[in-house]
Amino acid sequence: MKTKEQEFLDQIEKNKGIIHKISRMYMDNPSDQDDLVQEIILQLWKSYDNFRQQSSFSTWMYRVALNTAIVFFKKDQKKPTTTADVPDLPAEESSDTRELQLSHFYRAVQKLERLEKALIFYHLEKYSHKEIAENLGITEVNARTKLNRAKTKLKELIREQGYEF
Amino acid sequence: MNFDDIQSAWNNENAGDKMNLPANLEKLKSAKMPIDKIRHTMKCEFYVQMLAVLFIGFVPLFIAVAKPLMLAYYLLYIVFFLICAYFFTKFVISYKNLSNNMMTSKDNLYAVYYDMRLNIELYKAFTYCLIPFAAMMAGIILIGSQKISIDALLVDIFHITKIKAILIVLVVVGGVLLTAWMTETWIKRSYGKYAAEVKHVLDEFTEA
Repeated sequence: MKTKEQEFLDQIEKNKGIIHKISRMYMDNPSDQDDLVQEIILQLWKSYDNFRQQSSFSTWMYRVALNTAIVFFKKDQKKPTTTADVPDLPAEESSDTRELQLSHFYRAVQKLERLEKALIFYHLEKYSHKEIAENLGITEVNARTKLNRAKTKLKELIREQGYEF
Repeated sequence: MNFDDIQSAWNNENAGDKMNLPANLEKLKSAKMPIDKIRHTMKCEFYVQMLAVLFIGFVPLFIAVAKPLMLAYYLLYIVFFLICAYFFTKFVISYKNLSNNMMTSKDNLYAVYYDMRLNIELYKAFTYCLIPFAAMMAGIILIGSQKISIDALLVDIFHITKIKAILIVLVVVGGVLLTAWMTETWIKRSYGKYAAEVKHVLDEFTEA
């Protein structure tokens, strides 16, 4: 019989892609991303007893992981983010266009506010405006308006990187 | 590129492959959430403060203060000790009160912000409550260390010069202001910055 810890780790293993995506959206360098991943797993483990199977593991995980990412601050706040901290973009002639697009996306997303990142994340995970509003604790109208603004801002940021959008 | 391209790239990203999970959860170390950082710093401070409170209780014994002054000192010390015990209990309760991550993001932020402000205000109240006791106890220790009789002390008090009285008042007021300034600066540097950042994020949630 599986222990609670093993059961939890198995669930995390199945959904670890989401944690990685959230950490990449919220932190700009690999060291901070690792810290955030650890913190998310730790917070998930701490609240695992509250997960009562009323929703799917992933739905529960999205909320706890995002709540953790939203209030997570870097270790050294004195050091401002510089372009050197942001991972290099793959060369334009890269065979993998998707990888290049993702790199541009993650680079641009760093400049969004924390709430805007959460809105974009839920949008890419195909949540409806109603579901986004329910998870974030805002009204549906507010979710729609802020999401549209975040998308426009993201578009501009990607354009600023010289990538056609 | 358009949002459909981003969506497609997002869906096809093998993000999990780039991430290694810990073999067991005991190895996980918290990078510390803002509220945890505040609580951790406060916890360290309180151990020092508890030792200081105990040490203060022995000071009159080291310098052999006269008995009547000793009585006044320990009466003050009892109240001082009770105030410290009250705040220490509050901090321990607050420390054990973990936020519930399952709330909506906005409610979660409010809870984090509330916890932070509560801790900060408790800390301030604790410091300010102790200032008058600290001033009076320091006064007793200073007088007690001069080894003069109570009668001589009373004569001195009744015949105090105007300038000496003003000087004492100025020293006390200066001491209180300096302590208040140090407390505010320390809180702002150690704890206030996290509260300000959480408040900034919370402001993002206001209606568009």
